[in-house]
Amino acid sequence: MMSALSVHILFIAALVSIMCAIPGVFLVLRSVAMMSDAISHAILPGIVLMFFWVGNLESPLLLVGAALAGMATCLPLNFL
Amino acid sequence: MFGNAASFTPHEIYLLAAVSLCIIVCIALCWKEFKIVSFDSDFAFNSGLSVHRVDILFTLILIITIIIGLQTVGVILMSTML
Repeated sequence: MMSALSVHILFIAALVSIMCAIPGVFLVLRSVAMMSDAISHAILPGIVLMFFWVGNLESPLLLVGAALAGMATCLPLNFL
Repeated sequence: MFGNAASFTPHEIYLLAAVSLCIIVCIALCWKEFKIVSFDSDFAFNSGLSVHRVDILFTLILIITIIIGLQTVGVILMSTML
């Protein structure tokens, strides 16, 4: 039956889908629907570069690098 | 690339839930601003709202959403869900 682990996984999946649905609507309204695709792929080298700099895989700074890479992806969009 | 939804410790699950709830509260608080800027940004600018700031806030919310979702469902599903 439903173990505690599967309840946790379902809870996370529901929360993440709620969290993704609302900005997705605004992305479509602003006609920049592929921006999420671009950001999610651009975050990956951001994480890698921060890992080269920090050297520790568990560091929370990796997320900072990911966020910076995501912001750097959105900036040129405003100049188009 | 694929995410590991099944390998979260309960501590990480609570952290994820807390950040998700913060984001949802943020969106609920700025709902009007997002609506105006999405539908008619010139009207928003003329109404005195700073479109630039709302853009930055929206981008930040989007990036945090993507970062959390990446760990859960991976890159491919993340670009699908958004």
